[in-house]
Amino acid sequence: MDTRNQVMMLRQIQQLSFVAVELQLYLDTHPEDQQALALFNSNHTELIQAVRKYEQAYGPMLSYGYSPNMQQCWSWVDSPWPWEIKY
Amino acid sequence: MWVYEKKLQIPVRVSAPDPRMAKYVITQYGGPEGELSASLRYLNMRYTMPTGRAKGVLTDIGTEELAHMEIVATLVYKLIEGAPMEAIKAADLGSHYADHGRSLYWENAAGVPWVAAYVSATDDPVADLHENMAAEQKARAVYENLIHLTDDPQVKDVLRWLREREVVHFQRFGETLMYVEDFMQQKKVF
Amino acid sequence: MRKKADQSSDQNQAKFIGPILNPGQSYYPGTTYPEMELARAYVPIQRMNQLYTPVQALETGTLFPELYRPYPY
Repeated sequence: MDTRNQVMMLRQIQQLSFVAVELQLYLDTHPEDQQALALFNSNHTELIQAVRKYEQAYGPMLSYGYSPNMQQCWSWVDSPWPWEIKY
Repeated sequence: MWVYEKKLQIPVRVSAPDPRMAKYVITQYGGPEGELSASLRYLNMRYTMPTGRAKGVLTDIGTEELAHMEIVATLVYKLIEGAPMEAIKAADLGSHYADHGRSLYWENAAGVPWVAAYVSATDDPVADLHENMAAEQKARAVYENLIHLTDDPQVKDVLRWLREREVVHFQRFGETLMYVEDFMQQKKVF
Repeated sequence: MRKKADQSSDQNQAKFIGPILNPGQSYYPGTTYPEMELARAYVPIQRMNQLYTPVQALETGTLFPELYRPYPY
């Protein structure tokens, strides 16, 4: 199993996703901040790109229809699950 | 509704199994200042908040706390994983093991199960936001206690990260309080 | 915008010197909220400034350097 590449891609997604979370919370209390809004959207584009690349190799990241399943079978149920990943 | 993202919010590593530390860390899973209490508290309060900002902040922080609960669960899981029975018993985890084996469970460091009394909701937005600010401070304090209880640098890293999140959440709830206080003032005038 | 509801009850309050800011603007060390009242809490509203890189942000636990509180114990 090629976990080193998976871990590397996950780390990048975790970074971009975390920026999104921080901006989301900031915007909740600063909804008029145009700079933060622009940053949120550009970060979103980068994040989605990274997620789609990851999903091509390792299966869907989001449940309930927000991610496609690009493998031959339902890879959602594949290991490793998040708490099993060896970082 | 909720969508699940099949990844941890941050990488979680432990240097070695440590059931004794797992027994302490589990308090942030199912204890009074733990992530379950935090997420249920905020997600429950949001239904009757008066402003969109408050509903947004409570929804978003409540959801993030579920992700933190997953991180704490992963820490406990990895600290127990591979530990032999002697280590489990020596760590005073025998009582937990009797009822739950190596499974996780919502309990505090003394094994007392979670209760809804850990969270409150008064329908007074000022009171409720103060409850949330206090909760974030208490969670921060407990993470600091847990950091003192281990020498494992990788475990400390995860606990420090979760602690910093509490600092940021406190700031957001504080800002929300300012806006809610303003809003309540304006309501009185009209 | 804020309406001054109870001017009569403000007579015994100290007047702090500071910029008049609207909700959404922020306060930093050296300034206070004007016309602070008793029996309530105040938290300065953050004003976005520099940001960490995504790598630094994930390391520290926040995107904002002014919210970072290291705990090296």
